[in-house]
Amino acid sequence: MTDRIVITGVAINAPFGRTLEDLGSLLDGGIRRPKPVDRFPVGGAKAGSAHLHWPVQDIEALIDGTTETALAALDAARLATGHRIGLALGSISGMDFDATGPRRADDGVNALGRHCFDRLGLFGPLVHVTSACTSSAAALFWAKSILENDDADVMLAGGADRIRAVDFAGFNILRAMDPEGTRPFHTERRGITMGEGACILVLERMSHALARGADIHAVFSGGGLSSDGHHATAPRHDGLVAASRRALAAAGLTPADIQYVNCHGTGTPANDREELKALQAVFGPHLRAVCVGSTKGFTGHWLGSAGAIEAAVLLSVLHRQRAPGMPWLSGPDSILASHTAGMEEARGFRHVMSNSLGFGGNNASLIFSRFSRHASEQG
Amino acid sequence: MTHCVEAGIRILAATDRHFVCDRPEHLLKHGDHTALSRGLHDAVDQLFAQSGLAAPADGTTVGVVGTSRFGELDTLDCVTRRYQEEGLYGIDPVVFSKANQFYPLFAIARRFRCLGPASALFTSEGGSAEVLYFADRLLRRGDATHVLALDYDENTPTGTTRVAGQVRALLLGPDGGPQNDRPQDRAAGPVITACRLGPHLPVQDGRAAALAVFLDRQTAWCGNQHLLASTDDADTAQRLGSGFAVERLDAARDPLPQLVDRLRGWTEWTAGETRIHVLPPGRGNVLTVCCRWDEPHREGRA
Repeated sequence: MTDRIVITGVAINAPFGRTLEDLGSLLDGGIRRPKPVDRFPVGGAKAGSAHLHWPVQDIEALIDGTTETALAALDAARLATGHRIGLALGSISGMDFDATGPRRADDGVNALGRHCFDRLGLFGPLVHVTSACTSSAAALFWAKSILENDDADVMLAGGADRIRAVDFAGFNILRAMDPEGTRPFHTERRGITMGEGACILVLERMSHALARGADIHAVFSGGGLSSDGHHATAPRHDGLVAASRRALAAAGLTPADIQYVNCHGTGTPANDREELKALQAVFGPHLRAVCVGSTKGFTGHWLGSAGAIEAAVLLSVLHRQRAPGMPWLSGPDSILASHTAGMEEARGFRHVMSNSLGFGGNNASLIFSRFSRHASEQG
Repeated sequence: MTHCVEAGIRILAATDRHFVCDRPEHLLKHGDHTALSRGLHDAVDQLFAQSGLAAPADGTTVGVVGTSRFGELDTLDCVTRRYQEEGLYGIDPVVFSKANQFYPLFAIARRFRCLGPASALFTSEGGSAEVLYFADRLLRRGDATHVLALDYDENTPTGTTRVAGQVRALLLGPDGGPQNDRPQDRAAGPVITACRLGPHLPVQDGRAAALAVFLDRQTAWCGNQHLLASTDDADTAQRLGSGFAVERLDAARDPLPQLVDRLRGWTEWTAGETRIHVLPPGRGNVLTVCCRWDEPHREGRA
């Protein structure tokens, strides 16, 4: 049997806390309102609030916070830094390029990955993905691939981003932000609310994890990437369909095996409409038995690092055996209501999926499964 | 796709194209965000023409993996300047949507209908070799039947840097498929039988020790080993190359197309499989590629 990839640690650096327990409390706690942005001028912005976390928008704050998160993830997994530990980070704001241009000319796009790697004292491969809002989901995908090829023993994988003034302004200009706070899958949804933070998972081969007696949170069963080649900003469902089917095939699962899907669910009219179409295409009649939701109403949209925090949501669902609700929806307001299972009745989560979509029509789908020590011994 | 694991991955075709130089008149204008994409289009056009693959029969199995060091930073620079000078409403939403490092790959995916797995990777100097590794992984995992491995950089006249632009592209495909019959295969390519990603080398002083550890772990692979040291430190290259045939790459150029050129150039003096280690200049992941050449191909060269 192929050595599967498992998750043995996670750390979060976010306004709501640092651990999976903090994330669980957030998801139980109802709607969290974004706060007015005071870090840079937002004059003229129709939507002036966000879930800010870093003290300043400077890259140094992001590097410090991400390094701290990675160290906490290693600590959670009871690992020290070492030669065969690598780093795969997804970020769209990880370049040392602010309003005055690049401050360190040799840094290029991957300043975040490079400086975190140095500070962590790691010595495995380094991968820095910048593929818009799928960046950290893709980083997890590539980290899994590196482990499967035995090019590292452990990979720290996830994402980190910061809200930059230019992105905040740009999404306002695109009219992609909801002044009332994001409401994924609401019939009157108007867009995103930006958020920021860092989330790092520890991945390793199951044999490696078992040999060192690690606590295994979940199995990283499968992942899929795709490109829809449709539009620079508008999503189209068939790309996500391809990514999801690829992830299912890689996991050796069928749509009927999935109990929960954490959608990209940005709350923009186009995204949520196309995602629902994709779910209908992938799951067909099984969709009525699947819990479907988006957690961006709680966390905000973490942009390139969204896939990482939503991977942590999958871990939370598997651990707590409870899917987060969407308190901003009531039945008649939801475009999902007649298509999917209610969250309250759902139990027995074994295989869960997270989807990410990004500008440029790129898509990522990840599947995590509940770990059973008994099954692993049999396998 | 399982045959791919045994048979390796053939490099079908390669091309490169320079579309700017260091003369001021060739610098891109601010906001001229189409130039990079145009260069990539030309490169991929040539690539498909050379490989004999007019168009992918099923675009959903054609992946695109690309890397750049400063890709699309000029577009971001343009948006940032407009925001600073004119405020929120100075931003052009169309340009903002292109200030995204994935945009060049999107442009390629859309035009050439390459709708398989796609990812934009940015890992310092290691990036352009790293795309080979990830293309290899996609093919071996069965996630794609062909992968475009792209390496692009643009002329970036930002506040403090000016970077020469260049575009490179490779098309990788599985060995053993129908494209094996294409003349291009017999003329052009070695077969990649394995591709490994080594440690990232972040500190110049630690490079020799780091690479030695990595190479020690792999000594059982095959007999012919060559080190391509794209470091600009000749002493380090020589020290690392103890026991290896060492050649220096041009550190100022991207290693990926140079690697392909060397693979072709070495066909005369290889017997069976060859392992090649590529050491990035500055910082980046070590790439190890294990290649073999088909007998008819070697005879043809001789």
